[in-house]
Amino acid sequence: MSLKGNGRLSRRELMQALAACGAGSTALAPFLSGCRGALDTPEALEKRGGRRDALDGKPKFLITISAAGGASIIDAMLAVRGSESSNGALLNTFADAQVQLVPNSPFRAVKYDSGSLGSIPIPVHTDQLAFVNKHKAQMLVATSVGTSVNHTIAQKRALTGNAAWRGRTLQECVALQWGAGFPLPNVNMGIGGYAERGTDDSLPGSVYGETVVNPSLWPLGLDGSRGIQGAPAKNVIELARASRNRLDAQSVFGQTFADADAMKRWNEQRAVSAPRLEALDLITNLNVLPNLPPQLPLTSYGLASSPDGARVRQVLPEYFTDPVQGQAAMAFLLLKYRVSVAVTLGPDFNVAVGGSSGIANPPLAFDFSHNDHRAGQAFMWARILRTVDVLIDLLKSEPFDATSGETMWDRTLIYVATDFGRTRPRPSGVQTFGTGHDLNNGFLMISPMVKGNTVLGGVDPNTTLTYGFDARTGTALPGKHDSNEPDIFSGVLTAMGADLTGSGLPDASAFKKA
Amino acid sequence: MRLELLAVVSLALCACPAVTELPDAGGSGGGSATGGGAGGGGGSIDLDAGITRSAKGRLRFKGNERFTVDLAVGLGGTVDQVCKELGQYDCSFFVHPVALGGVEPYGVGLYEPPSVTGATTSLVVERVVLSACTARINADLSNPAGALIFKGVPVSGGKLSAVDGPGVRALIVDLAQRGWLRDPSEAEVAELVQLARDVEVAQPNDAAKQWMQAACFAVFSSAEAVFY
Repeated sequence: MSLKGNGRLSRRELMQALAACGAGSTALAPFLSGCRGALDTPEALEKRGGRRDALDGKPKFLITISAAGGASIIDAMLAVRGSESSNGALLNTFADAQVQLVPNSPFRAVKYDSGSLGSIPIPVHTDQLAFVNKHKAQMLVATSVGTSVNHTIAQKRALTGNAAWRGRTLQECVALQWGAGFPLPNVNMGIGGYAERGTDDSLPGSVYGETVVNPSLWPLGLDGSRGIQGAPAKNVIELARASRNRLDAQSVFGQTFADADAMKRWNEQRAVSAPRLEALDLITNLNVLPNLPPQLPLTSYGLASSPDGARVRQVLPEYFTDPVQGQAAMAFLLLKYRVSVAVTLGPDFNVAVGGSSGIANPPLAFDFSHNDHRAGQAFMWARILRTVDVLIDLLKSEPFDATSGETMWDRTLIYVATDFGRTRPRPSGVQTFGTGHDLNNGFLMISPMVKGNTVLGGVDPNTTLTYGFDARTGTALPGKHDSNEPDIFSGVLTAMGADLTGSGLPDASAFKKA
Repeated sequence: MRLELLAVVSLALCACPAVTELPDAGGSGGGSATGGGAGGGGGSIDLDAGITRSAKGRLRFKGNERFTVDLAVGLGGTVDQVCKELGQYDCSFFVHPVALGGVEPYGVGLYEPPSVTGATTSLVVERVVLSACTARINADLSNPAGALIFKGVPVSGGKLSAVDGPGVRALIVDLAQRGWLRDPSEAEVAELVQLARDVEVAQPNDAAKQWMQAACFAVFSSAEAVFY
C-alpha cells in the first residue's frame, strides 16, 4: 500500500484498508475474544467494572434519605470522646458519657439531653444506642470528603458522585438497572439538589425522577376521573379519550407538531403510561389517607384507603402533617406495590409542627447547626434514624418472594445522603455553639447487601476529621483527605450488585457484603 | 478536495426528503374543511392545501398557572372554581403543581419548572379538566335561564333529542371557540357528534349530560388546549 506524498492515505487506499480490517476482525474475533477471556481473573473483571451479581430478573430497591443541611457523622456513629482527643475542649467532641461504645462494633452512639433546641424552647432528649444495636450488622459508614459546601451543589454531588458516571444520579442508575416494567421507576420527594435530575441525557425518559411534592395527596392524581364527584361513567371517559385522541391527530395543531418531541412524549404518556397507572388502581393502593370527614371525605368521593393504610398510619401517625412521615409512608407503598425501584425522601428546610415536643422539623433541618450544632444534629439524627427504623421494619414484614423466603428488605439499600459535614472548632469547653459547612464527613448505608458492622476509613480524634480508605480493599488510609465522591457513588451501586460495565467507576468492592 | 466535499454535501442536501407532508385525503373526511381560526376572520382553511410540519417543533406545555387560568376563562369561571381534590385541596396550586409543570419554591426548593411533562401529567390534566367541566355543566343545567355554555340543547328522557340538531352543533362550536380559540372543522364537529351517538349507546339513561361532560373533556384536555 502506497502513501500519498503528504503521508495520508488516498480514498481508494482507505477503503481497501477498512475492508481488510473488517474481514480480518470477523475471522479472528472469536479467537481474540477467547484469548481475552482466558486472561480474565476476578481482579481483572473487577477492574473493568464487570463484577456484578447475576441479573436474575428480580428488582432491587434503593431508598435515598436526603439528610438536608449537613448530617455530621461525628455527631453519630463516629463521635469522639473528649478524653480521646488532645484538643477535645476546642473541637466538637463530647463528654465521655455521651458517647456510648457499642459492643462488638466499630460504631458509636450519642446520647444527648438539652432543655432547648437553640432558641426554640423545646427539650431535646435523644439516644442513638437502640438504633445502632438493632441495625449494626447491616450498617456501613464510609468516610468522605466532598467538593462543595454549597447546599444545592453538594446535595446533587452526593447523588452523582460529582458526575462519576456521566452525571447520572444513583436513583437513575438503579431505575435503569432494575426499573424496567415498573410504572414509575424513580420517584423523588426530596428537595433542592436531591430533587434534580442527572445530566446524562442519553437515558430513557422513564428513569428520570417523577417529582412528588405532596405525598399524602399525590395518589389522587393517579387516575383521570375517579374521586371527582359527578364524573361520567368509566366507559364514557374511555369514549371521550378516544375521541379526543382522534381530534388531536387530525387537527392542524396536532399535525403541525406531530414530530415535536413534546408531542411524541405526550402521546406516549397518554397511550401507555397513564392507562398503566390507572390499571394498577394506585389511587387506592398508594392512598395512605383514612376516610376522615370533613377533612378527608374519601367515601363521599368514591375513594378508599390503601389496604396497607392502617398499619402504615400506625407506625407513621403524623403522615399528614409531618412531610417526612408522609414521604416514608409513600416510599414503602411505592416499593410494595412495585411502582418504583428508587425512592427519595427527606426533610426540607421548613418548620414542621408536630411530634411530642410540638416541633417535628426545625427550620433548615440539619443546617440548624449554624444556630445550635449539638442540639440540631441530635434532633435531626433522631428524626432520620427513626424514619429509617420504621422503613426497615415495614420492609422486613413484607414478603418479596414466597419461594425464596426473601423479604422486601433483603433487596433494599438505604443510603443516607447528605450535603456535607460541619466545621469542628468550638469555643473552649462550650456545649452550645454553631458550626459552618465542611467538606469532611461520612455517609451511612444500611442494607443486607452492604458489608455490615463496618467503618470504611476512620476518624482522627485529635482533629475529629475523618480520613479515607481504599475502596477496593477497605484498608483504612490515615492521612488520606482527598475527595472520594466517586468511591461513595460506586460503593452504593457495587453493594447492590449493579452492572457497572463501561462506567469507568472505581472498584468499590469493600462496600459489598462478601 | 474542498470542491469535492462541497459537491457531496450539496448532493446530500438535495436528496433530503421534503419536510412538508400532504395529509391523507381521507383523514379529514375526504374533502376540504372550513374553520375560522384565530385571526382567520371566519374564512376557510383548505386542509388539502397541505400542512407543513414544524421542523423545530418548539412546543411547550402551558404549566399549571396558564393551563388553569385558560381553563377557568374558557369555562366562564374563576381559578378557584376549577378543581379541588376532595372538595377542598386546590389541584393546580397545592396538590399537583409540579405534575402540571409548575414550581414549588417554598416547600421543596423547586425553582424551575420541569422541562418535560411527567408520567402523571396527562392524568392530572384530565382530572382538572373533568372537574371544571362537571362544575360548569352542573351550574348550567341547574339554572337554564342563567346558563352560560350548556344551553339550548333539547333533552328528552336523559338523551339528546336531536344529535344532529342545531343545538348540538352550536354547543360544539362554542366549546371549540372556548377551548381552541377557533371554529371547529367539519371533521371535528362530526367527531363530537359521533361521540354523542357512542355515549348514547354506552349510557342510555343519562346520555345527554354525560356527552356534555365527554365533549367538554375532549376539547379542553386536547393537546391544542394544553400546549402552545
